[in-house]
Amino acid sequence: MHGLRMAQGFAALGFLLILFILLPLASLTVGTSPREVIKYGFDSEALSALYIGISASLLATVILMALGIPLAYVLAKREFRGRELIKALIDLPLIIPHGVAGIALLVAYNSRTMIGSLLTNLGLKLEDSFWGIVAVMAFVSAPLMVDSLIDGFLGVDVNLEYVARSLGASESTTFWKVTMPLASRSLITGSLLSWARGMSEVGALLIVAYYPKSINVLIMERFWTYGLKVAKATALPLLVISLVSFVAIRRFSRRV
Amino acid sequence: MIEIRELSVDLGEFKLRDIDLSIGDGEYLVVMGPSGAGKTVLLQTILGIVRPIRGRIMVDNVDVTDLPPERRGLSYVPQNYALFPHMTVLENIAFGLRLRGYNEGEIIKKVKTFAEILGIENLLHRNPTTLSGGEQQRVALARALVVDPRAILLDEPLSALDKSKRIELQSFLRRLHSELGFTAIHVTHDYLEASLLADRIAVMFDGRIFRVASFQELIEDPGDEKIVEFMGMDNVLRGRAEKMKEGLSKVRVSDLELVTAYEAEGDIVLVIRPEDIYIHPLGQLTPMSARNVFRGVVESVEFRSPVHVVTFRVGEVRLRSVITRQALEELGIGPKKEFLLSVKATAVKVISQ
Repeated sequence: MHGLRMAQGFAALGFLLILFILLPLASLTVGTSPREVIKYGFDSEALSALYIGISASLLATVILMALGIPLAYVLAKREFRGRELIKALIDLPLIIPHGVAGIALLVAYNSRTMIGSLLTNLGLKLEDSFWGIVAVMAFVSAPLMVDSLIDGFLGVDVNLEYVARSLGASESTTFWKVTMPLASRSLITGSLLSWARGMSEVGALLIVAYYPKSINVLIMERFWTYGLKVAKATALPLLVISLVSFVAIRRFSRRV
Repeated sequence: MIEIRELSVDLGEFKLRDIDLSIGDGEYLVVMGPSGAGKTVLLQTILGIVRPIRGRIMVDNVDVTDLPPERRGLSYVPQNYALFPHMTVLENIAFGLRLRGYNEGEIIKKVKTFAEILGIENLLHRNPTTLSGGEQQRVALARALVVDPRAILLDEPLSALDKSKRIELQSFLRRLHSELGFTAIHVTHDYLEASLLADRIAVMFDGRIFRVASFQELIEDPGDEKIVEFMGMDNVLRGRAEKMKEGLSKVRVSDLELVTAYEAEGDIVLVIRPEDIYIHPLGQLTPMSARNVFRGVVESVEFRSPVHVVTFRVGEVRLRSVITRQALEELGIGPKKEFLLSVKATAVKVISQ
């Protein structure tokens, strides 16, 4: 009886939270006519911005996978001095204001710095370039990818790895055949969060790479220039795409 | 053949000190000791997961001390069996074979052979997470044995099972060992498990091996107070010894005086096995060979299948004896009754001085 009352209370409070989140999202659709959505959400500028935003965030996620897996593995499996410090540093992008993140990237990697000029020569210029967008998104998303993967690797029973080794598997074979498959759900979660975090970034993009205009920046710009109505219509396709991808990936990962 | 020489490990919390141990081909060695003694660390050091600070490990005359686990040819069966949850039972067993480059036909044939030996043919396509503890253990054994290892290392393989399953799997393990003749190092804290399985037992405390002996040797002559205590033996007494003639010694235990066939002097610990205490009715002549005869009052009688344990009070001292149900009835043993107890001098064993 007691338990039931608690469950009801929790459900009521939970419902409040759902409302809080759902109402603003739903109100984006209310009062926006299909004509407006087609006009502003699917015009050539919006479509190209959508493409830039999505492809940059996907690329950032792939880069984070490639670099985050080794880092997270070492942080999860090896004990060494300074490990906790590195973990804390990796989490910093979560805490600092987005504008500050943008300024920091700009100061460190702009094309007049040593690293920046090297990257520019390689065609990876930071300021107002596609690569700048990718860099911003990777920077703000890194903690989410690395933290998910650390949790995933820690969740793999070391005895499974010991047994694999004893049966003749080298350290790298053990990693690819045992550890990574068992941490795959964390990789999916980490990727999903990284991608989502990249798609939601604006502050740092305004500073580092206003152009080429990503959807993130375009919505902001249209809000300032044309007001709420146009901004709403521009944001709707992004909202739908995000919702559909989230649901799809969650369903898929449950089967893994 | 595995030879361990002066092996020392320092993991901070756990230390191994100067371990010397050799395990013959086909031998079933049980490493027995309380938790925290370092048994698992020893196993993991032999396996190659833990690096020693000193000492050598030889497997079939090859020094493997600096080799990684995958090049030692030793299979591991951890306490939780550690079946790969993302593979079927068949894939679990085939794991080591695939790494050895067997072709698919050979792999299936070998897996089937071992599945049959272990009685798990009908589980091959199951997911390991759906198996019972006993089934998981059999799969883990099949996976360890199918690669024809130089030895298998088992870490408390029966402790996760309930009592009846444990007894069943103990005898199964013993049968399996006598059929296949593999070399095994088996870690446990349970001396009954050790007694059932071991060719020899290595007793371990605080990171050291105290003794390596057969179970028979261990109970007949434990050699060390810690071993006696650990094995929960009865009639462990402390006393003061004094040498007599002919290699005999006199031991004073509280108000009781015992004669032992051990030469001893000063403060000692002795043990009398319960079956070495004979019970006679008052007034009956006791055997000539019994150097120790005294009166005891029955304090309690307890049934410990299949025998009865009778606790006597002899002055200040408590002594336990075991007798059969028939002898219990013939002697009319019951609480508060008085009897003569006799113990041979050779049965009073001095285990530490």
